[in-house]
Amino acid sequence: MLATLLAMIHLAYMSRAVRSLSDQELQELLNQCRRDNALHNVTGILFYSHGNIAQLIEGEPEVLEPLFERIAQDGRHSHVRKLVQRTISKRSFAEWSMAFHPLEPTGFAALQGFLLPQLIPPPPSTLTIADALLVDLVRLAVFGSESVLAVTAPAPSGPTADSSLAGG
Amino acid sequence: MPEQHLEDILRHIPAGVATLQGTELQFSFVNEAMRLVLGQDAREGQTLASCRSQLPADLREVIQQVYQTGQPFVTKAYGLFVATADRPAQLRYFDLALEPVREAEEVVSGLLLFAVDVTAQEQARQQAYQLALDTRRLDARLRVLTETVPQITFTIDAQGRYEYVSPQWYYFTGQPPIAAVDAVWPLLIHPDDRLRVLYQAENARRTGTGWSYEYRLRRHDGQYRWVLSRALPELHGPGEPVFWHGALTEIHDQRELAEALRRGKAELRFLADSIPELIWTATTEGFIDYYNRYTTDYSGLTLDELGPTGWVSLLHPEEQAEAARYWVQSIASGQPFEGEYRMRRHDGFYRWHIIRARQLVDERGLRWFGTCTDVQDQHLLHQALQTQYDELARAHHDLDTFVYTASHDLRQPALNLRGLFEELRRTATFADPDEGAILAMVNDALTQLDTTLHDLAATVRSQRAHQEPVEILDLALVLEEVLLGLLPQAQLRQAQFEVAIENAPGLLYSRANLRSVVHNLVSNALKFAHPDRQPHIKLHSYLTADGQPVLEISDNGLGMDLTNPQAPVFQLFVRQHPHIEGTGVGLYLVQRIITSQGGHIEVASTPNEGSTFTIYWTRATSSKAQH
Repeated sequence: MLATLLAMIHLAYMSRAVRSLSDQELQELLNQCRRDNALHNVTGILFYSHGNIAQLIEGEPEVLEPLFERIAQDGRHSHVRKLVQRTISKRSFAEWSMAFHPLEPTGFAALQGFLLPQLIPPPPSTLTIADALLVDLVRLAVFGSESVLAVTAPAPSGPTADSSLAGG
Repeated sequence: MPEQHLEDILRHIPAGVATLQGTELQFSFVNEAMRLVLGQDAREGQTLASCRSQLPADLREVIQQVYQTGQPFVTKAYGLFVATADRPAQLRYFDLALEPVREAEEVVSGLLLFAVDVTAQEQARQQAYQLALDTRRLDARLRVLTETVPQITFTIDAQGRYEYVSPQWYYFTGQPPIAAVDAVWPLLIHPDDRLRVLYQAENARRTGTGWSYEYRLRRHDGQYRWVLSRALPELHGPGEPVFWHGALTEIHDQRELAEALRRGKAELRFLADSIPELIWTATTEGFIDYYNRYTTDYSGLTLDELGPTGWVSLLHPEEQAEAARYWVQSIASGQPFEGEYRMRRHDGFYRWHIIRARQLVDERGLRWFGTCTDVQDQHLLHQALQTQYDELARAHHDLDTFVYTASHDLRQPALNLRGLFEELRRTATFADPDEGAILAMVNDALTQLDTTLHDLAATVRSQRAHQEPVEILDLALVLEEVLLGLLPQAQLRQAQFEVAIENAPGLLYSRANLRSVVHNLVSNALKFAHPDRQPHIKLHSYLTADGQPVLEISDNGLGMDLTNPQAPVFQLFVRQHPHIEGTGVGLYLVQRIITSQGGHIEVASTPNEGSTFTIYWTRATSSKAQH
């Protein structure tokens, strides 16, 4: 409960993996991130496909800012480009999850916190339309146009005046 | 004892000493150092010839000759391969001296051999020689290089005097080879740059650092050209520069180009910032990376608040989701983006804009360029035109209906007139023969009137054929259209509308007829509003118990006296409120339209309280119907 009272931010970036990650490495990354993020109350989603990485994370600025510093210096990827960092009123993701194109799809579907790209739900309606658009564009950039064109257009989420204007 | 002592000394001095006796050249003394030169088998008692010596043949020959001629021989740095017990043969150098020993100052009886190892000196000398050769070669190479590179190269000493200037300087400046470089060079620097350059050079010399600066130098043709001067100090000991070596590169064209680019870029930026239009660019992925200044001026948001996708939050909340989807589709497919959206100005007012974006592919990759053009005025104009068009179309329709119904309604009296005339002609007699001609003229006129009325009705009917009901109309839409058309009048009187159509939202009717009826009744309600109160007009659509669709339009206006026999409500050209402008055809038309489709209209009204018109659109199917 206390966490909801504190100021929260979300932060999104895109980057390129230095070399392609194997399914094994992806699974390890998934496990490691899930453990660390659960510990620090970080939620969000990571997209990975063919060396393209994008992540949106939510949490307290005291946690996210140093976390992003570490992420930006991680030697496993380069060309880290921060897209957005702004204050949010509440989280849009209940946990931290990851979506990627596995080389061997079998087995991954059962993995907790993992999504196949074509099964990613549309951005939650708690995001402003501007932020939802950002997530959609990021997904398009990571997974390619078929991921977007194949998805049936979600019904307008009926933005309230304050949710759509708050993003500014 | 002294002799023994002398021998000890000779045996141990670091120079080789040996004596040879007799014509057979027998060794009488050989010290250890000499054995290194002559070989280990050169021992006392041995002859030179018999010792299996490492001496080369030419040296043996020389020894023989010295002995025979009695002439001493000295050679410097004589190279010999010397082997010892623990080391393989290696080349060493010796200074050799062969001195004949004469018996009683007369006959040569022996030889004195003397050898000093000068290997280290010789090697040093050879190295020095090699070094000199190398230096000369490098020097030559350096000279070729410095004199063929396009740069002017120079060396300045600690006092700032030019020690060396490559020939390019003379070619560039056109100065004669005898020119005093120290004096002339500063004069060739552009006056605007001179002080700065002299100060910077002086400063670098004082602090013992290198420099890199640009200035304009006068060329042989009098033109000033931009050059880049770079130099590094040559330090002799820490912090003790003796020379500065540097090069001067002409960078005029690059600088001009860079300047032009800077200027072009600045001009483009200025242009983009000055246009009163929202302009932006986006990356391949669809993230906006540039907004012109007008965008921040218009929106009142900072660049940070706008962010890569923040533009969408400027749109009207109803349009954001659709625009966001459209943008993602455009990015995915590469298709241009174009749409009309309301965009929020800094004061919260929404203005209509056409947002257009197209992708540009050039050597820098793929980018999107977008503009948002304010079309608020065009939009309002369009709306006004649409309203006027609707009004005209309705007026035209009303006119048609009027002509049709009038011609239809006038035919009956015309037929009556014809019957009466026939009756008159049959029963009455006329004395005046001229009256026969008049009767014929009346007959002709009656026939002509009838034909005209008939033709008129036929013409209008053919035009109205397409106005028969063909579809079930969405009442909500049609009513909204009609009310929009009456917006100016409604706003003038601050009228309130209440529309309740949930019970019968659809109606099978001709669109034009429906609009005519509603338009006439609502505009009447507005026109005959009570001057003391705000008009309140209710439109209520419902079905009767036997399924007959009904529209009820009630107002709180002036009302009518329905009992007045002088002013029947639905009569042509009869006006209930002569003091208010009008033609008196409105209600007449409404009734004609409704009855022509098999329906009927009822009215209930109380003067000064209001009227309620109840329209039964279709023929009644049960006995409840009153007409």
